[in-house]
Amino acid sequence: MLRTLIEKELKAILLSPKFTAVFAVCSILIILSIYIGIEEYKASMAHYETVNAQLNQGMKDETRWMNLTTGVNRYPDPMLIFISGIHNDIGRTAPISQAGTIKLYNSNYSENTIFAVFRFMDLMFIVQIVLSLFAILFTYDAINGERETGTLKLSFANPIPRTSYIIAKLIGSWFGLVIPMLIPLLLGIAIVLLYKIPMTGTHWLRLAILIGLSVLYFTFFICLGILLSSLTRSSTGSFLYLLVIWVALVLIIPRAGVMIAGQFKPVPTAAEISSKLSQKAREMYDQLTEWAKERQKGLTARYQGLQDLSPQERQAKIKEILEEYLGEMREEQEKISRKIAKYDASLNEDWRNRKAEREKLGFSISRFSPASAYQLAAMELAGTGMSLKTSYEDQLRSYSDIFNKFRAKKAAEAGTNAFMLIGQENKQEPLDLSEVPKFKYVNTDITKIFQITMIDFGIISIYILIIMAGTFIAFIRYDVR
Amino acid sequence: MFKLILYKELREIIGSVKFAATFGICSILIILAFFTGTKNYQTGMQEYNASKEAALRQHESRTDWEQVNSHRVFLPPKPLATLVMGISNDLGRAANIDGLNKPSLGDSTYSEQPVFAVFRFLDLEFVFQIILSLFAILFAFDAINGEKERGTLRLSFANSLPRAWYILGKLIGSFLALALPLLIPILIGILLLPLMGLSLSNDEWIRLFIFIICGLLYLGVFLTLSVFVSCLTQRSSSSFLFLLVIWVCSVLIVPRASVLIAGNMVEVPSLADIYFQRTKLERQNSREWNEKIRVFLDELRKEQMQSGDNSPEANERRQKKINEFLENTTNENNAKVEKLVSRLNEERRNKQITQEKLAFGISRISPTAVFTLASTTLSGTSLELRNHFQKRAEAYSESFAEFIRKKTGRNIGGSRIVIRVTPQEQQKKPPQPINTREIPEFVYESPELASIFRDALPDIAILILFNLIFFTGAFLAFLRYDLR
Repeated sequence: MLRTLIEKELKAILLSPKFTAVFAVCSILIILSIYIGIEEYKASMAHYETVNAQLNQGMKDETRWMNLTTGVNRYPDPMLIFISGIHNDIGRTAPISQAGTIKLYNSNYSENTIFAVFRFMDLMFIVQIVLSLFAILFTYDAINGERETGTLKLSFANPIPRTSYIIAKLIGSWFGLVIPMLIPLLLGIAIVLLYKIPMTGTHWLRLAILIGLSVLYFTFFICLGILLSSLTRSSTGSFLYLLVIWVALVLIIPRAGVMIAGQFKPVPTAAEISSKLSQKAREMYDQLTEWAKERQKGLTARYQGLQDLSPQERQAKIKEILEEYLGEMREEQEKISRKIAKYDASLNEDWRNRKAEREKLGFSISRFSPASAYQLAAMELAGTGMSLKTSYEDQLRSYSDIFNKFRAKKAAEAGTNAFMLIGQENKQEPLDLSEVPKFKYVNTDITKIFQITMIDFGIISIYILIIMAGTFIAFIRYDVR
Repeated sequence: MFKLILYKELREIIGSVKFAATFGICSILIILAFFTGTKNYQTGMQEYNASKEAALRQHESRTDWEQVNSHRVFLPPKPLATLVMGISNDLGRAANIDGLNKPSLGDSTYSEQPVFAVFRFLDLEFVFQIILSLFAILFAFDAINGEKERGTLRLSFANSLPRAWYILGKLIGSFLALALPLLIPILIGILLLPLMGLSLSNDEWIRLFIFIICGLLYLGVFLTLSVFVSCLTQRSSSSFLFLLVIWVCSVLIVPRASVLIAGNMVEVPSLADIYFQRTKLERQNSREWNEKIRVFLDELRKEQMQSGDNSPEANERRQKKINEFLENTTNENNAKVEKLVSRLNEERRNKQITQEKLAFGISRISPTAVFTLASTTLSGTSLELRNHFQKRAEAYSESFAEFIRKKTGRNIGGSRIVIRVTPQEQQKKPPQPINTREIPEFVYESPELASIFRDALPDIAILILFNLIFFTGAFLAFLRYDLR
């Protein structure tokens, strides 16, 4: 019995003209989005390679270790083909030099603003907005539509248990909609293979989980459609309710969450932070000047005490005093540098914590909607989520330390000092760059990503379970006349 | 007769449950867009003021204008830009001014606060562009063939009813039924602006007004298109699907694909490329300069040896000579770099313009793209914003350089040896800090209304044209429609 019902449901979906049209549109969109993603990836890769070549050339041209600067380019990960996330919004290059805070500059959208006008269309956008809408289009009249056409009454003229009927509805619609959507997706993956995109095992694993997540999200809207259609009498009514719910879940709640969080948890701007830091630095150096002045007074007093000594003894004593003074000065300077670095770190830490708090609040509110849960998890899986910026900057900071230490060591070995002597003949050999430490971005561990996305998997699954239970109850009480 | 049909159409739409629901959603979304826009403007303004103060504070407690060699200016938020955001969140809002190089824009909202980039914002343009167009289709996809399916079409024409009146009544009636109720939430939203303490200038009111008209024209495009398609098809389900395909193409595919095509056809050199060429030249300059100064100092030393003049006057003369040499060579090198950079930037700019023209030219097949371009132009958040801000920052950079020249008597970015001799009596009192308020203020003025309107006019004209084409199409198709 169940099999007949499922077959009927499948036939009803697959043979309708609606299905052909929607399937064609979805296939075009999915394949196009993957193609666009590949093009975007190739463009990012080309940019990455040019900038890298330029950085290397710049390093090769340098002849003094002390002046050596480098930079790090954000490596485009092939997963951005499927989900671009914030990849285009955050900076791509970070200069690494002795001074200055670590920051990524020149985002794709700020440099090539034309792409920001209409933005990119990625797989996540298609699934999140277009497929969810299509799921509603197919299921809004699953029950009440049959009632309106009179087929529901006819079906139940036979001895069919209601539970089998509703289970068949759910399973039939699921197979009828999910399986066809997987076909263009597989075609898209074939294109990825054809273009020889360097996808590793982890990438494939992440992609597989991503597809699983997308199916789960799609399932949510299929079940929601059936639920609403068994709660209402007319199909126009259920369609409208679904549309309202869709707008709220997909368009309003995700944005509202972050906006509300922005209102409740204000975060200082980058300009304010940097001004605070430079103010502190100036204060500290003023203190140093004061200290030096005080010490100089002491020195003058000590010099005066040397007047009775012979010239040679005096000279030796002065040298001793001076060296002592310079040593203390150096110590004081280092102390202040450490203090400033500590202040910088604490300031940044505080800033980051406040940002993280806002993020947490915003995302928690927006997770009321499965659309945001899906988006957050998908971006995390693709490695283009919020953590991309912070983890890059963290890794860059530690690389910057390593690089600067290496350079200082080399400079000390080469015996050059910090100041270039004006007018000195400058015929130095190019540097041996083979030992320069290289930056390698370490992707977040797959198990950790999985842990993070588990919450969103859980949220969507719970929603689906609740809706399924609701559908059962609603249909069992449904007036089939 | 016409009046009667119009009434019937209005009553049918406004009295339906469908209308109540969609009207509810649209009202909430529109009012929400106004509300969040105003809130965003206010936070943006706070951030702007804080950043501006922070930039000035950087120079505080400095005692000499010699130490001030750069400044940061910021793009102020504009009320209309928060209603129609365009590229304003993608564009760098801060410009580094050093009076020497072209100001570079950095720190865009989305790069600084990627949390907002995740879901992006909900603005008026988004509501119009995606939701209203979808609703226009939902209301009009069965305007003609739906009546046929229900049999009311045949009934109507059993009376002596001219077809032209009928289709006119349908088109105008459905437009009024959708557009007029929309004006209510828009008016509430507009009322919210002054209530929340946001004041618009006269120019901005006019631009907002034209934007709303554009929105209604865009709604009209999808409405007339839907009636047109429903006249061309026999069944409402097929017209709905057909319209859905058109909607997806117009809203999602064409705009993005056009930019992609243009991006592939016209290659724009990256900023990194320009930066690299620039540093290369600078490095070469510095090597040459090093050689030059060596020769110069050698000669000076020789001269000193020959003349044997070590009087203070002679030393001062020599110092003057060195300073002159430094000033001249630095200016010369800066000019060289400037020439190269401005040539490269010019090339990049030209390529960009070609790319933009191509992309937007192709995208204009889609009414959605036309609407986006018109509305961002009107709100001042189109690509023009980037050019305009850049130009204003460049102009400011010149006036900043002039200011510093006046204060210090030297060109900004030049090198020179400064030896200060402080008289005994002055040593006792500490040097006075500079007054940072003297730094000229950066005033960002939006382009003039006339020029904005000139830029938006072609797109508005295209929207009207789309309306006319679909209107005529619907009209003609209905005259030949098989009523049975």
